[in-house]
Amino acid sequence: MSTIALALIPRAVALNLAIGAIVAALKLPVYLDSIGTVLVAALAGPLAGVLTGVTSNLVLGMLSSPTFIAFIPVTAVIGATAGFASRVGVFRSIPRAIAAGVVIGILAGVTSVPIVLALFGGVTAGGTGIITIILRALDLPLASAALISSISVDILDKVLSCIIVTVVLARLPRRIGARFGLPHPA
Amino acid sequence: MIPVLRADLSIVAYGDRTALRDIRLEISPGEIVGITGPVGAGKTTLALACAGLLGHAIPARIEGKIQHASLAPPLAGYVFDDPLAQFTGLGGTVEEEVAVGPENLAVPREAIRARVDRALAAADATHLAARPPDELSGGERQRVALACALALEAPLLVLDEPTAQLDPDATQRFGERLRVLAEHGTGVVLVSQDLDLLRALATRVLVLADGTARVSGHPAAVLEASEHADAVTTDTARSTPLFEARQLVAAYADRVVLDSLTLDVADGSAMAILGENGAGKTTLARVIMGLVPVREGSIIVGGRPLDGLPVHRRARHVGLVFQDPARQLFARTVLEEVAFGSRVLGAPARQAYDKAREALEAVDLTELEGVNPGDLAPQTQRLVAIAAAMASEPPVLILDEPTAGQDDEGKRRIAAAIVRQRKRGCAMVITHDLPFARRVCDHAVLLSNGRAASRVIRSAGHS
Amino acid sequence: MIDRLRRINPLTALAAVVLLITLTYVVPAPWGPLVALTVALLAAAMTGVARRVVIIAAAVAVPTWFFLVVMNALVAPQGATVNAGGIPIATGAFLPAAWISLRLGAAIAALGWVVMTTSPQRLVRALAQRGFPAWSQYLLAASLAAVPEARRRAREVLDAQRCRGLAVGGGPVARLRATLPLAGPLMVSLVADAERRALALDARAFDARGARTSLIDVADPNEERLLRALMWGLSITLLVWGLVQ
Repeated sequence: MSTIALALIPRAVALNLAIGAIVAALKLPVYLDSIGTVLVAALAGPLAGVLTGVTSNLVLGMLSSPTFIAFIPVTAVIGATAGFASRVGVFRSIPRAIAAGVVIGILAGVTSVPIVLALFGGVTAGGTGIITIILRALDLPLASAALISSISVDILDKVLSCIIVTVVLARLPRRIGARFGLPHPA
Repeated sequence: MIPVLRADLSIVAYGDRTALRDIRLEISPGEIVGITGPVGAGKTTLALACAGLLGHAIPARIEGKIQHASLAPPLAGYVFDDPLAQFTGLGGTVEEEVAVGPENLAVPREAIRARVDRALAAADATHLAARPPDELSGGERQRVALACALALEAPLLVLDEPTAQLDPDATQRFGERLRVLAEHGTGVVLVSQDLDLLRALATRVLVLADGTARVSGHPAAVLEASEHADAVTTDTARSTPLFEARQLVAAYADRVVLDSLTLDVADGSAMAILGENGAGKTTLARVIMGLVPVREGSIIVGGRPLDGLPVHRRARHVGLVFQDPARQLFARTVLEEVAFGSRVLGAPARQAYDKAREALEAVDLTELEGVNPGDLAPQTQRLVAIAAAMASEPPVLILDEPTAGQDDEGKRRIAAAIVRQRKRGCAMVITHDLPFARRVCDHAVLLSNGRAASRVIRSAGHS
Repeated sequence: MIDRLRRINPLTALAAVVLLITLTYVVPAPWGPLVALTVALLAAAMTGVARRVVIIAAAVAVPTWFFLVVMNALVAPQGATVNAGGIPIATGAFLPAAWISLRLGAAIAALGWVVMTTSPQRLVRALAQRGFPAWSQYLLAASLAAVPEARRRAREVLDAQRCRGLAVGGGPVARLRATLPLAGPLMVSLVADAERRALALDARAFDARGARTSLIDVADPNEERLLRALMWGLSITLLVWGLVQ
């Protein structure tokens, strides 16, 4: 990995944690806390994406709550998926970015379900858990309820993250973009 | 004496853009070589080349030779303008951060200890050893950055605008440190826009223009006396106050920052706001914008109180240009960036772009309207931010340290912007730059302990 | 003993946490998690962080128990139920919910203890002494150091854009549209910052693959090494035993 990619990862980890201030000011119903992971994956590939995801949750585990450490596989999957997606050029147009967001959201949801089932009995205290309980009330099996609630929350979050990353990449200063091998925009 | 650096560069280029041509430079131990020139002249490229960092951290094509006195790393210590960005984060305290360089060089532990102590002492930062780097003031950080570079114990020290973000006091002390280091035999390359600093320190000065040495020699011979620029003040001041602050009290937690401050700025006038760091200058700007709540007092623009208006509504009445414009630049082009304010305030696209073009013309940036603002030099970005604030035509314009790091041409453009603003309203200029304040402002106020301690008229002069 | 625990090598603390978490999830409730929780709380009490450890453990364990009970006893009751004012409540759901919460609480208490008593810089140095590569030290240490700066920058972007007239309130569409001028400058400035930080690393002779030395020595006495080996061995034995069961 190049020194600049290595130096970018800590900024992206910090972005994952700091974007909360903007989300809170706008009162948006999402977290966007993987936006830095997606950004690094798009700029520097899957390995850098995975490292960003893993480091983010380690740091969150240290600064916020140890629970985040259990979800390291989820952020690693997000980083890897976004990195491979960027290799086929998904961050070059908004429609493709939306598609990538859906795929990343589904994979993130699928990865988190076994963790939620094994460690939390299928329900985490919060918005996602409330959806799970509502789905259980509709007689859905626990695993399906957990999967659907987790995916529905993740998709919105990852789609918005992917759209923002796509716009940011298009507007990145040429000099910086060139350092990450981005083509010069016309 | 063996020179610490011998550079003979025929071409240095980034991609297809040539940054330097035909530069020859030789530096002996104990010599301080100043490098200056306008924005975009290639000063930073030359600094990076001298430090042996081109081609590593920054990809570039180099034709020519650079020879350092040391054959293996570290070739040179390097300090740049942004005090915080130079810290690696590998150390939790100042002392540990200073140790990072020797640690990377795999110096044995006992030897690191001695190096760190020497470097901290030479940078006048020994008392900061146990502090977290994040909590230091700008001047303290820059001294620690110097210590970090010194701990490498290279025979050459390269500094790129090291005092750009320091106040005059901190700049002077930083300069003293450099002089002592040179007296002890370090070769120093000092890139700076601050001609006074170069005159005081440099044994030799190289003036760059368009990537090549325009002139080189003794500072007194090379640096023509600048700052003799005439006052651009036109007599636009009218007697009606456009901006009034009435007995403002503001505080962070228990610390009172503004203590019953009263201030008038007449329509057509420009007021310089002077004072030491921590005197409350930036806080005053933040209070006016509503970013910091007032405890008591009132702010009136054009007879209308702003009290209770949310920040984004005040934007119609007051424009504020922050010290660091990089926090707001995001548009595809300079024109869109400058039009952003009028757009979010509800102006139709056509009108917003017309006003944006007018504002760009005022700072002479018309030819850059299609460029991505992120690709501009920081000094030019600041001019874009000034144009952006003027484009929505606020009656009051506040500029926070607009001339930091600017060359003469940049200062001239900012002065022109202030003249234009005075025809439409009034301006407040927070600055350490007294010559500039004399040139563009008709009034000045000295803030001290959150009060407007004295009120001075330009023609009376001030120290 | 207490003094010793305060100066424990971060790697020993980590090994202890792994052992406690393995114990929590391999040995059936209540004994496994109870023993782990007791040890974690005891260690926390001896190092003066008991209150904070209890708070973060309870902050996850209690709401989880509540959500599980609501779901499994009330909303979708399974097995035998009792009638409480016309509402069937599955009584068999309470105990399993308690065990899940207890395990969570024990695991978080163990992790919380190590996080609260180990400075990240010390952990990084301990890892360095064990030969972890320079890049991994950098990722962890620089990420932690970058967080306050990024938070400050996020606030500065909010301030700067509001001063230009951007409203952060309003309807959902307006708020969604405001995301870009706020997230954008933050993201672009952080990417641009990476270039300067890379320069700073190069200027300090950083080589991601190279070996480094360290100014500060993290003590690693022989007894601790032995203890650590024992704890790792015990963790693996427990895991194997759990898998066989």
